[in-house]
Amino acid sequence: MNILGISCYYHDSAACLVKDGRVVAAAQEERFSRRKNDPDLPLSALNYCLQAGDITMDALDRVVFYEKPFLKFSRVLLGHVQAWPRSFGSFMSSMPLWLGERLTLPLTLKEKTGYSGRTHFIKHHLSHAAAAFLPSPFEEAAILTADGVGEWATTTRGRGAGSGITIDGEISFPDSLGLLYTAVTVFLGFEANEGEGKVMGLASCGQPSFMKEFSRLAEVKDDGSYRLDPGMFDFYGGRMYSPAFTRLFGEPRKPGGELTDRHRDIAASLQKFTEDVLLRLARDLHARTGSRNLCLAGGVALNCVTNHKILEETPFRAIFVQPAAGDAGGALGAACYGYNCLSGRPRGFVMDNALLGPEYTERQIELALAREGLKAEKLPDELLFKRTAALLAAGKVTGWFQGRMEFGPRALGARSLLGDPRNPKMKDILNSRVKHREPFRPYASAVTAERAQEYFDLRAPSPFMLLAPRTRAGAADRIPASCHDDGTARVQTVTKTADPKLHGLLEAFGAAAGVPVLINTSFNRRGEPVVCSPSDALRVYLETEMDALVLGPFLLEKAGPA
Amino acid sequence: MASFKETMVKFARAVFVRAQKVLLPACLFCAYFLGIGPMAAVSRLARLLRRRAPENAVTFWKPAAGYEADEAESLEQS
Ligand SMILES: [Fe+2]
Repeated sequence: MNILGISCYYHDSAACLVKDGRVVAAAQEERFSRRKNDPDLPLSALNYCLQAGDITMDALDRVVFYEKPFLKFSRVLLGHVQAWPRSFGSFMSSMPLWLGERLTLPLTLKEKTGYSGRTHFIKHHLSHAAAAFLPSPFEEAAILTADGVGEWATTTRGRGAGSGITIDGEISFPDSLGLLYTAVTVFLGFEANEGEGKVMGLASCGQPSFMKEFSRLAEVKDDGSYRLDPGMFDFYGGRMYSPAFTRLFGEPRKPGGELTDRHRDIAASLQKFTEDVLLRLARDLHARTGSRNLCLAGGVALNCVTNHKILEETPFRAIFVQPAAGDAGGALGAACYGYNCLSGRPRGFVMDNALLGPEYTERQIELALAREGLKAEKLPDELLFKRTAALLAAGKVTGWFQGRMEFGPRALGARSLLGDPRNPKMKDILNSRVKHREPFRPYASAVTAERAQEYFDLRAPSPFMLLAPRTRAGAADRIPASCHDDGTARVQTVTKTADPKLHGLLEAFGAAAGVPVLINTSFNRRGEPVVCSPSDALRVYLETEMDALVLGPFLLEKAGPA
Repeated sequence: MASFKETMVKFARAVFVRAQKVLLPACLFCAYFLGIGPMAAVSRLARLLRRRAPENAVTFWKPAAGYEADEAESLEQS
């Protein structure tokens, strides 16, 4: 049985194929189109999924879309009514899209792919819940989803058991933790749907001294349910916050403007507010379900600092956060729901890695190298790990391109840029040579699972880099580039089974440098999607000041200064 | 050489595409001010008349509906 899941038309579109219960492929359209957060119908990702599953559109039993378009349209229309006449710009730009493809998906699919079978539509947060629970390792679990907004819902709670999902509560638009986060992100001069991660990084540099102001933005109950003050926000009026918001917090920061302590403190307060709400939600959910296991999804679940606090401060003992927690993961949730719930088949797939994207053969890599006129050394694994580890230990910024591409926003060792965490200047080096990020943004680290506890106070494995524990006393001196200003670190734990190559490299680096930890960031330039093909990787390698690149078994090094 | 009919079809399509480019924004403009505008006025009036009473609820959770998608329900777009 073949089920295709699709998410698109808002942000970061994606496709996913479930074949006989296994997720065989999932990818975001941006990786193929090279357009960051591409929201269009994911035709390239869809074609990739079919290829990976070795099937054609005719072989699909169902297509499942990750939300209910008419329901969403009703909310968008009502939002424009409520924000009239400030919603004029938003109305004029969004309506042609709605009246074009968005409300006619079955027709569009037929026109563009020839598919004329059944197309199903499940609620946005049900897709998130399905993506969180169905591929999790748990037989039963509590489920919490939170994002900006789906159709109407912004936060849902429920429980999963066997192949079933029950959602029993929701909070709906305009009350939204995700939209509040985005509004503050915009106020702080960052882009909506893009800058939230930057604000999370900025938060680690500030003090939560604006909690009183935040308590005026929303009323939060003991069980974590909340209601925003509608006078403070303006979700359809161009910018997301109201004049009352500006009176409360002062002048907004202009994009690219100077960052002051006030901005850092607002970010830190936002982070603390988000943590407080999510911790209350999680405690209440535990009390209701009695489960030890928690599944999380929705854009808010990308907040790795909060995720780890949930493990530290609530009775939940195990957590599964969908690695593609944002809307791209909705495609995976929709496909899994189609198989397990609509078709009534039992669960049997556990997502223990996120390597669901395309991979390239040695021959394809050789061809890409030849096209660029480059020569590379082909090395056996052990020697490759040793040589790469030596380069990294010598401070070289190295690209690491191996096997299937990751699904979700994080690079987890398949399309990664690696650096030496012992060098306190490594962040600046990565920034100035390749990434060109804002200087306050921290970098994440990969560590062998066996030795993670030596460096980080982790309460659970973190294979998807979605937990940010505190670094252990003394570790900060050994791996300063891994540590954030507030003493935490975003961590990926790597096992030999999940990723033998990255694990081998970390061990080799441990032998060479004394720490089995590497800075691991996404392999891309600022404003571009993560690289997908060997040619994408070579382009970044050649056009930036990266020192070395490993493409499968091939090692390339740039000549040092004469 | 293209037949007269083909030329006419191409011409008609070009006219349609151009007209659509002008007509769609014009229709949306009218819809916004003549449709959404009055709806906004009514909705604001209704909100004024039925001021939200101070909330004493212990929770803002609402019961969830429509999350038990089965075969038939999931074929609906709303
Ligand atoms: Fe979402």
